Amino acid sequence: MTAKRTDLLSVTRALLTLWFWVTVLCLPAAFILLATGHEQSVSFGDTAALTADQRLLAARVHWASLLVVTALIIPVVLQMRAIVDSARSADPFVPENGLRLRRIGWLILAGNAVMFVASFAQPPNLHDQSGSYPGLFTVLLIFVLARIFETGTRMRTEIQDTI
Amino acid sequence: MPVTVKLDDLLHERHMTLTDLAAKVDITLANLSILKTGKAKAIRFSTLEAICRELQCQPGDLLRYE
Repeated sequence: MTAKRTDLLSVTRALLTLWFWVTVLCLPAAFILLATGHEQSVSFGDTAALTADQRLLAARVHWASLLVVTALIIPVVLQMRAIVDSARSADPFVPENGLRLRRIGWLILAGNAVMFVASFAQPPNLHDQSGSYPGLFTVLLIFVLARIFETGTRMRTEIQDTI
Repeated sequence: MPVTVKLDDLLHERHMTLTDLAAKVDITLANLSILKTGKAKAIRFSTLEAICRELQCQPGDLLRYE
């Protein structure tokens, strides 16, 4: 059972490390696409009815928001990896993990806010806020988990200080 | 903290050291030291029972509400 848990944590850590490097490599790509205003790369919604300027604006907003969100993913992955590392060392109920989860919550909320604002900056027929609601539920869940972790840590400390 | 542990006084009265008690009650010296210095947050009944047995005292002799 413990070996299986360790395997799961090791696999999760490896995936997070892979995710980290993929995200790091995506950053310059998103920056180049933003700088060049690569409008053909945007294939969402009905872009046929747009003027060249609107398509360029849509592409810029799309790549700018993606750049910010990609930049926000990096600290999220690092915080997640730190939580996995503490679980691998068999002591996840430490005060830092509550803080880490809270940070992840705020970062995901910031990412959602960026996507939400970006969707309003798009031309009217490209508005799409459908992705915001699951994101908000995720954020709420993470904040609740952070609170549970903090309570667990407090209980753990009390048990440790019981003689 | 209003509840204080009088382990130091009891040991002094019985001319016993914390190390002697630790060996008799099978509790680590570090944990007994935490108890003695009032840093413990709670005490198990089994710990209380073992200390009272070895020091021939009542729980009330060990703990005091101030």
